[in-house]
Amino acid sequence: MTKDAIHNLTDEALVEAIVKTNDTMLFEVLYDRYANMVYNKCYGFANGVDEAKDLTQDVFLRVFVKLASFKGKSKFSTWLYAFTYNHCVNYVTRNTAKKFEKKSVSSELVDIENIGEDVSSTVEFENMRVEQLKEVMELISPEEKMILLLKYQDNLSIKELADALEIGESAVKMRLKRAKEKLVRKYANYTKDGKSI
Amino acid sequence: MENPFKNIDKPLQEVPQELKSKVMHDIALAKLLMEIAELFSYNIAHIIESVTNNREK
Repeated sequence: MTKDAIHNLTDEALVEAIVKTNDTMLFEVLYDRYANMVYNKCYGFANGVDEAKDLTQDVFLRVFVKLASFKGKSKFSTWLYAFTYNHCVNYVTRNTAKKFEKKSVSSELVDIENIGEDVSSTVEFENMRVEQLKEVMELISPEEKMILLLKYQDNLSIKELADALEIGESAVKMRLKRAKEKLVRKYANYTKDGKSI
Repeated sequence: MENPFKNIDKPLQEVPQELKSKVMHDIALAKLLMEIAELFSYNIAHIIESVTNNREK
């Protein structure tokens, strides 16, 4: 395959070629396409540049090993977003993983029938200021931060979120609704007296 | 007003130059290990297929 031909491949075709041949040169092309995105997402969860570098390095290594598990059900970029966030969240919560697991089970028991499509709306965020939103995002749990970013920054649909997080669509809606409510509440408190809650 | 989530990661950070060589080094090592592992393992699916195909009817 010529260099031009490789650069013209879609992400999905490139991934297929990497899985088939295990060619590290092809993986390099994938790295060039996504290094910026992965690094910046890791940076959002890391304490400084060094941690962001380590996280990015780990993400790409794991991506190479797990690439065959990408079945092409969603866009590759969607899969990679979720993969990156999952790795970051696992890293941040490595000592508290059990606690969060318990919490997430209890949330599924709540009545989910009444959650409409309003979870997709961004009206609640429109008056928020970016700098303050950044601060408040640090006051919610990493899982909540992940689902909010996937939905409202990366524009994943409920279906894509369900596939990426391997949970049901109603569970996605429930988690989104709760994370959103918590964020709005924390933001209101934060801006009321100008300090964290 | 637009969705503030779109600007939450701005300004974007530049990826450190040295990271690429570190990542590619990791990948080369992983590839080597995966190939060695493959060398010492049986491909069960292939064995079953070749046995059943060669069996006399």
